[in-house]
Amino acid sequence: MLSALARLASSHHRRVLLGALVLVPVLAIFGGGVEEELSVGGFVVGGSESARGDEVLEDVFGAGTADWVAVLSLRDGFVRDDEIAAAGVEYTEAVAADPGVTEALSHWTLGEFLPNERSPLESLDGRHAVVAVSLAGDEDVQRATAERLEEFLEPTDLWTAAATGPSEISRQARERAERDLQRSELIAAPLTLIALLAVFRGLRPAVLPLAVAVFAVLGTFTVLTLLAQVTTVSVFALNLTTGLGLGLSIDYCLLMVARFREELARGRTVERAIAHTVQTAGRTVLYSGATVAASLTALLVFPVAYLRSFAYAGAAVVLVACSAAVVVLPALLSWLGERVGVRATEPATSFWGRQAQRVIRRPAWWAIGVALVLIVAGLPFLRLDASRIDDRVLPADNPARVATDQLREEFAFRNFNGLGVVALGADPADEDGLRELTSRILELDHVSRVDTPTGFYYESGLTGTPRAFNERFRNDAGVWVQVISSWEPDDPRTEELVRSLRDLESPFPGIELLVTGAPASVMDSVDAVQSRLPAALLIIAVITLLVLFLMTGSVVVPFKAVVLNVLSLTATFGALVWVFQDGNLSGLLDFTATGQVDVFTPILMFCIAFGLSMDYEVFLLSRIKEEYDITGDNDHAIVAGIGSTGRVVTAAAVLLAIVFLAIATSGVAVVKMFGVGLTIAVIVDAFLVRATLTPALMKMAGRANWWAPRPLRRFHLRWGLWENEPVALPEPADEPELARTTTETED
Amino acid sequence: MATKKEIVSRLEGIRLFARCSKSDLKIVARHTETMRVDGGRQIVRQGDDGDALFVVLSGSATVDRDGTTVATLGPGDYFGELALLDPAPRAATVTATSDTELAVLGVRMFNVLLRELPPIGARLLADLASRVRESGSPDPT
Repeated sequence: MLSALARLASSHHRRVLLGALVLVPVLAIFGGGVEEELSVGGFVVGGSESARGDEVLEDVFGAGTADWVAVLSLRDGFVRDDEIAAAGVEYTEAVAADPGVTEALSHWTLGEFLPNERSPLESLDGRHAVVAVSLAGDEDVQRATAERLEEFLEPTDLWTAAATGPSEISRQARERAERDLQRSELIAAPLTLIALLAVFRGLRPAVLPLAVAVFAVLGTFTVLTLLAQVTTVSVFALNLTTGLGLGLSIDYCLLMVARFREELARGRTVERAIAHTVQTAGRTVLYSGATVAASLTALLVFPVAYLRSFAYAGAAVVLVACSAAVVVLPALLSWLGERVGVRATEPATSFWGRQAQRVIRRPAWWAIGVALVLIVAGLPFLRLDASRIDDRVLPADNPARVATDQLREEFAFRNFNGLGVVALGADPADEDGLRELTSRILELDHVSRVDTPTGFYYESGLTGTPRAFNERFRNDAGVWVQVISSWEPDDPRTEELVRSLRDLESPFPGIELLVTGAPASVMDSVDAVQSRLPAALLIIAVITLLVLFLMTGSVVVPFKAVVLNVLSLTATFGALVWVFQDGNLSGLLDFTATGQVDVFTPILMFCIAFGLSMDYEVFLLSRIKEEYDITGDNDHAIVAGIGSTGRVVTAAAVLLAIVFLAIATSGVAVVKMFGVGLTIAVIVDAFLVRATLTPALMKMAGRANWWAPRPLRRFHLRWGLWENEPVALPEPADEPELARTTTETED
Repeated sequence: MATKKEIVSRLEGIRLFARCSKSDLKIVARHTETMRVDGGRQIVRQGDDGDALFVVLSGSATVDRDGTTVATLGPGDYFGELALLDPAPRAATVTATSDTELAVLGVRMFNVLLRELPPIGARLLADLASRVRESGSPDPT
């Protein structure tokens, strides 16, 4: 197949390039509007207890959690003043009238409170009030509603208003992240171009990765647009597409261009140089792409649309980038010919070749030293406390963050994050059952208050008078109660309370209790990820081992590759926990540490880092194997392999580090974490793992690197991934070209 | 186009692969390309780098060193192995004298198969020894 592609690129490069030029606008038309088709949500764990509970609350009871919260700060007077109360009722009703609002609650609509009785929706000093609003629909619908509700934040004579709540925070974070990403692209674009010029040593070769990236990104956008017609695809898949698309394009182009130049420097014609490049470097690109694409599909095991989207985008971007690298890029190289530059580097005397020689002189020292550094860096990962994002991902001066800080300081914050215990189908008139449920809940640790159809029940034994408001907790379809924790929503004791509630025996015969609410939803997300993570990692490991075995014919080298990838990524995630969970360097990097790490962001990072890391590994292994196959000399193969690909790998890493560092300037903490983490990942992988650990371990293993049981060796020889080198006859000197046919065989 | 099965059956009659099992030949066929060369066309040229081993499946070729024909090759003969075993420029030019079909094994796979399929190495050594004994000129190419 590759020889046919090489012939196509050489003989018909103009047609291939013309086809590519036609295809780009087509892809732009189909994929250009992708963002409109994608979802801002996709975080909900489908079928989880909290998701089912939320659905019942919204559909059956017209209630739910406070997705959007307006904090009204009075200019003068108190919440309970008549004039303010009248305006408050009007305001609450106006908000509730929005078609996207399920329920709007405020102090003024809860009913009468005694002068000494504290209302949960009134500040401790009585000068601020909140309107807690439940929004209908999925995250996309909620985001649109939140946008409409912005009109209620206009200041009036009586108050100033600010919004917060999960929907608003997510909207603000998304908008801020988009602005920051645009800014980071403005910073990164010129720097990357300068670096590309330096690395590729010339303007023409420097634009090659951009050409491949255009295909990779637009092609993937088109695939995602089509997929979005049949399933939920997260808008965050676009970040993966652009990050991985640019990264892989740079990697593939560096590898192919370096090989093409090498072949030209050997005195080969452009046609033969293309043939060799496609059948060696092109083959490597395909193997690497196959490994990464197949591995990323492991994310389909997660029942979360957000993570599944990374599988779609990851596999698509890798496959499109690979295709562009073996079809369009060779045509471009054929067109450019020697204008791309003819450079030969003697692998053994190149900087990375000498580095490899230094390492293989004392392999154990290097292996132990670098492995220790990586293990120590990875240790904080053991303390990972995964959670979901809250307002603290936003910069301290963001309006939603300011409003949430106000809630924390002026109100009893936990009131806004109540837990719902839903009994769908329970008899609403079953007072005994309700009493039993309430008393069982009050017996649990960490319960501050229980709101039920029959009143408010406090841990202290006090009982609040029922109001009209309490009727929201029941209708003909069943009953539900709201449980207020004694602790903040992200406190481990609230998590303990959720688990205790889920262990409760239902007092309603045959009726299941569903525990929901923001903390329960976070727990379901974290549990869903953590419980399926081993399966996903196992699939990734098995696919990697399989493809690397088919590529190398060894059972040792693939295991080494997986172990090194794990070591490299663990060190990265260890550093992330140390910085973003523990708060080290928070002043320098300007973010607020929450003591937890968002559970989804590391998975997105893992996908990109794993893809790039596996790319580097395949580049190195492929060249080392090629040298070993020809010479049978392990040491020579290591030095030659690292000497000829070391520059490619490190240059690719530096180029990507520029892009990721620009992303790290974002004011949104998770985006900053993404940028910082990936910068660490590519630098650690290229400079520490591939340049030191790989040669050290391969030297120590010696010929055992290539060991496999005899049946497997023969299997690999017969069915493994091989590509025969192109063999061409000498060009006729002073005689006309004679008819010649080179025939490939077929099975 | 020859199928792999056809190549295996044609390789069975080649001296170099005489000691190989059927399973070995399937592996060799997996990594072999066939090539048709018109009569009069050069196959390898003296002074070029060696990058493949050629086996004559049909047709004929002459071996010329410094303008003098030193050997004639026919079906079953192979050439080019010395430049792979001991990397050095081709020592002779081989030209097809009639329409010739060749099986070609690139340098990488030649070395891999030499290590993995001992019967090929053993035959190669035996042939080399025989040629040394007979002519003192181990390999015309």
